[in-house]
Amino acid sequence: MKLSLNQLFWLLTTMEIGMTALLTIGESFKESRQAAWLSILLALLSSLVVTYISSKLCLLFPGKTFVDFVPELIGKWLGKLLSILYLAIWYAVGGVILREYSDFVHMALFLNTPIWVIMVLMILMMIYTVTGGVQTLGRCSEIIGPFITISIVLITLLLAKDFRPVMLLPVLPLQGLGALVKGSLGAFSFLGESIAILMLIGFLQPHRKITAAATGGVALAGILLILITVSTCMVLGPVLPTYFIYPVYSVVQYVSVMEFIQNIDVLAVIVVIFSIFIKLSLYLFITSYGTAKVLGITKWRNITGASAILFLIIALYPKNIIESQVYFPDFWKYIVLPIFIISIPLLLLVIGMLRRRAGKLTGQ
Amino acid sequence: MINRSKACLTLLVFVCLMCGCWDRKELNDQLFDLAGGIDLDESNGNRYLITGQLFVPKSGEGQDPPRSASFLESSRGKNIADAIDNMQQYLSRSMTRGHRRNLFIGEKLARSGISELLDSYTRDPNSRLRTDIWVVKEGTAQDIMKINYPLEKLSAMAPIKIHQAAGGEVGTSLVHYLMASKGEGSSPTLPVVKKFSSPGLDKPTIMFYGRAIFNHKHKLLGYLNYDEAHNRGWIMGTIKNALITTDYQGTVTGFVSQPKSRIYSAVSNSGYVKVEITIKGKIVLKENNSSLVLSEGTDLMKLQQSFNNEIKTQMLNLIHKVQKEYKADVLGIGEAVYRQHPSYWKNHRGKWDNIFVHSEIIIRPKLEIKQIGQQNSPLHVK
Repeated sequence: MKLSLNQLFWLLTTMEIGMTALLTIGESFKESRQAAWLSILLALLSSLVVTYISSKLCLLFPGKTFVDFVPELIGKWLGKLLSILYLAIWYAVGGVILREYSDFVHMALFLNTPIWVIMVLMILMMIYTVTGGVQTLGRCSEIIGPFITISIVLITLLLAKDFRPVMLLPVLPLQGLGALVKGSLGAFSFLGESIAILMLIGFLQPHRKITAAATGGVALAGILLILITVSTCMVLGPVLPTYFIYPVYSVVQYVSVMEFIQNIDVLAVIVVIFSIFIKLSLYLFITSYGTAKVLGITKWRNITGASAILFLIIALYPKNIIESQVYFPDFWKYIVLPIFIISIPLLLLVIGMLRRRAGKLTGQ
Repeated sequence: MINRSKACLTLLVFVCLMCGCWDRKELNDQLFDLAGGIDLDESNGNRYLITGQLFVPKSGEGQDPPRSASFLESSRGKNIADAIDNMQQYLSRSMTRGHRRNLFIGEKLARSGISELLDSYTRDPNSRLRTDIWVVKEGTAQDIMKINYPLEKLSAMAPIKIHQAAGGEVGTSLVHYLMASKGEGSSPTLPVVKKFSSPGLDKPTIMFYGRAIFNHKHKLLGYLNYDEAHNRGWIMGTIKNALITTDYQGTVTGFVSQPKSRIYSAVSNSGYVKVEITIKGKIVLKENNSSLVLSEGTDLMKLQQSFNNEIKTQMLNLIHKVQKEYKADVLGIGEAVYRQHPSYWKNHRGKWDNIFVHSEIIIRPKLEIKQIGQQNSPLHVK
């Protein structure tokens, strides 16, 4: 099972863009209004740092994934505990994303269909992909990633005639720079999900460009996100996006070129579905692979089904859209982001570098 | 062999999925709502009377006698969704709102407030954001929808096309309404139609009247007539062209292409705001009944001055009306102050309605005559 640099790049772009565009832009608009794109830029820069840290951490242990090298780094039991914590978080976020995805598709396309049907169909796809191994996932995103990028650029071009650049002024929000930071947290916490590379880089041939590919993938996703934010602001103004639950979907519904190209919101739905499919498959892969390693099961493919069922159970748990789209993102933003996305990888990197300097690390 | 049967089984599963699960909707079971009308009707605990202009699909060619392309249906309800549900009781197909482009609101309803009914249109994901909403002056939505407009197959399309022909923007009124009502200091507006009898012909037709002004509580305050609305569009940058007639030793009419404007604002700490609006445009003469010899530069300049004075008077009248009569900022001046003086705006946004009424607004017209048509002097000039 090997992953190429190109695949890593597109895998990150694809998994990062969909959910972030759908759910976090409204929050950025709420806090920093017409400067929402600056908030997103801030989120992008911070997530680049996080990705860089995770990538460097992985590169201390070539050919090994997070669950392999953590016990080596901080001791067997502590390492196991940390691995389990991370896996728990990945299970939780996978399940909730499955739910958020189903809620969106349910609203946009299938109002009468029971929500579990939408989930099960997606899960079957995920299992099929994941049992093919990480390489299948990489190849999928090599095709889907460029498609998503082109679609987003295309939608932006179709919206261009409704752009009113004056909507982006004044450049800074009235509420001050604090609002910029506040507005960036949501997007940062979503883009920060790039720490999934902790489980991925081990599958790449050691290469000096790995960090560049990982940060590049996140950067492309962030740039697309800024593009979406700027065009949403120029079409709907700085306030209206806060009024809709899915501002990006609303703005795509607004596309009308010469009364001819209209109602292309289905394209946006497809982009979101594709992106989330990659993201969920990635989470299913790292959870099944990681769980198998932690439990000492040799054939990780055997537990993919069980992991998928766990995803489904978690996805069915939230009672309503507020629990899945407000409470959980808040938990993610205020607890997971500072502890698991920023602090722990940084701490591990520092420990790793110190131990390496002391010559105690045998990973090389 | 096992592989082949596996493949077949998988394909069979996919066939089951193809039909679209629970949300299968045949085209034959759908009814397209092309235009909607909403009136106030407070009887039997209801609030709304809705009217739909519904599309009649053609079944094949060579059909005679030709059926009309649409028909009207109406129902009452406590809110919009309730009224649509009630209408469904006598419709053989299920209502699809994705193709509606027009919504008419009766004057009585507009006066009592429209915020509730807008919710139904922005919440429903099947409803389009690109919708034009019209206020029906001196009448009900049904008055307009009952008119059989001869030029358009679907008569509800008429206001859109009239608006477009008059140089206005189409499909944006819902979004602009929402943006203004959520934006900085602005009062929202909607375009207006009116039932009208063409002079001497005595037949009812649809007239594009102008613009309706709403207050912050989404209640109708009053109207701007066609010219005032057009001039407002000039300031807001939403019109594509304009016609202007001036009187200078006889009437002269010019066609204005590329109408533009720019708002400059100056603020003082006491809260006082001074605004300067520059009006620009390029004029091509359409009709000249004056005795001016246009081939002479001085006469042309005099005429240009006259056009500038005319637009200035018109704009000042418009400003007086919105400032003193309606006391509502529908000219985007609050937005301009917000963009140009953010820190001032931060402290004064709550008092903007009052500040706007007392602010000094001056007009600086900069129209230029570029062409005079294919004739020098009119016939009566010897």
